[in-house]
Amino acid sequence: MAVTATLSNKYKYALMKKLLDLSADTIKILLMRSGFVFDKDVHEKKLNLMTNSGAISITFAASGKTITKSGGTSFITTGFVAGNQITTDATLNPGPFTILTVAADVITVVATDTILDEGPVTKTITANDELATNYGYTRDTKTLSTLALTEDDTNDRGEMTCADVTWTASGGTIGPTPGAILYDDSDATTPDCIIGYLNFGSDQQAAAGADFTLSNIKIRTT
Amino acid sequence: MAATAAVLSNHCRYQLMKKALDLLNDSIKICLMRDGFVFDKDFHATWDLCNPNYTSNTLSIDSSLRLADSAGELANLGFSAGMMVNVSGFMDSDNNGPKWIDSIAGDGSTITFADTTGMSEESPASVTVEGTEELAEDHGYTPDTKILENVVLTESDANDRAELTCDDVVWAADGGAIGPTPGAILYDDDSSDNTIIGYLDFSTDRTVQDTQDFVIGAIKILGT
Repeated sequence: MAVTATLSNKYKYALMKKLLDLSADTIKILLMRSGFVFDKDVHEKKLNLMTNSGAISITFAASGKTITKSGGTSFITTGFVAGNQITTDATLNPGPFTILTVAADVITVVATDTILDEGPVTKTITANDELATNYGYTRDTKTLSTLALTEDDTNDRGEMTCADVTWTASGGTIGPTPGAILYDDSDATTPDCIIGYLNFGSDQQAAAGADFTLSNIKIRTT
Repeated sequence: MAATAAVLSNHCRYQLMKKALDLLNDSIKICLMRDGFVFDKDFHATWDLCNPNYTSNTLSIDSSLRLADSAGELANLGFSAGMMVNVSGFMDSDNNGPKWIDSIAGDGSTITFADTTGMSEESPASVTVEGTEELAEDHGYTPDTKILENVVLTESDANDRAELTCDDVVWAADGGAIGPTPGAILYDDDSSDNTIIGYLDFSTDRTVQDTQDFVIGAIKILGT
């Protein structure tokens, strides 16, 4: 498959601010749900991929396709971003929905989603763009191993390499998944800065008994 | 000043990934370089390599009046053609003192000087050769003292990069000209090895005359 790699803008900033050590930090790799689209501007930290509002008072409005909260922490601070796939524990509006825009108190979902009038009700909104735990894939557990950081004077860059990453499908298929996120699990300041995204070009999957392997992973500074 | 090209050192790229440089909070120095200096992003990794200092009992003056090193270390210490070096430790006074390097053997065995004073001399107990690629102290320029001020680091989503900016850097020429200088080195004075961040290449030698300001404006370091 043709894989393209994109660095997040937050990663570029964090490197210059001495927040990340690609030779020693714990770097995790996540497979993403089908339909996920990486945005190097807004995907800054793990919280932008998986977060929840906690139980808050929210009102669903069919006309504007909005979810409006009263009080509590800003949706933006909580980590919700455009493109998140969200679910709720509300009776009429369990989702999943895809976020179009996020404001401090209002989430608007995409036009193709259907919202029913409901509330105010005290419910929780959950975002998670990682592939679900199943068939040998376990969310947020895979760590890059055997990190090696080198100064490459031939190609004029710093380069980090690591061992291949493998998940073995068991009892069913892993995927489909369009790509993988790398984030720095040791970064306490950002925190959990997203390094970047490996876009597989198309959805990939591994049938039961097969390995889902990402090989020759490299992170470069040019 | 006319168009300036900027080149990052490869070591800086590595050091950024190794959490060795904090470009927002570290002290970043900027140094004007001597006429004839040529930046090499592979070789110029640390500031020490712009200020070579070599002391050894393996140095001698050979029959061709070259500085010879039986240890063959002269090639990779930072000495370069056109650099002025101070030599000390030889018995013959004409073998000591300031000399200009004409060429360096690729195997590090000899340095040929532009002048041919002195005489053949066996290795004394200790000879020191030291030089610098930085512009000499004169007329308002003081080596290794200028620090970037008001450093700001931002994440630019519009341009997909991190961007460091700072105040313009100014040296006021006093009593004579500053220069000629072909460019300026930026290095991280707080890093453990004084990592060279990169080089601002002025494209041609620049000089300012007495009472004029030598200004480098709109300095930026971009992480792309």
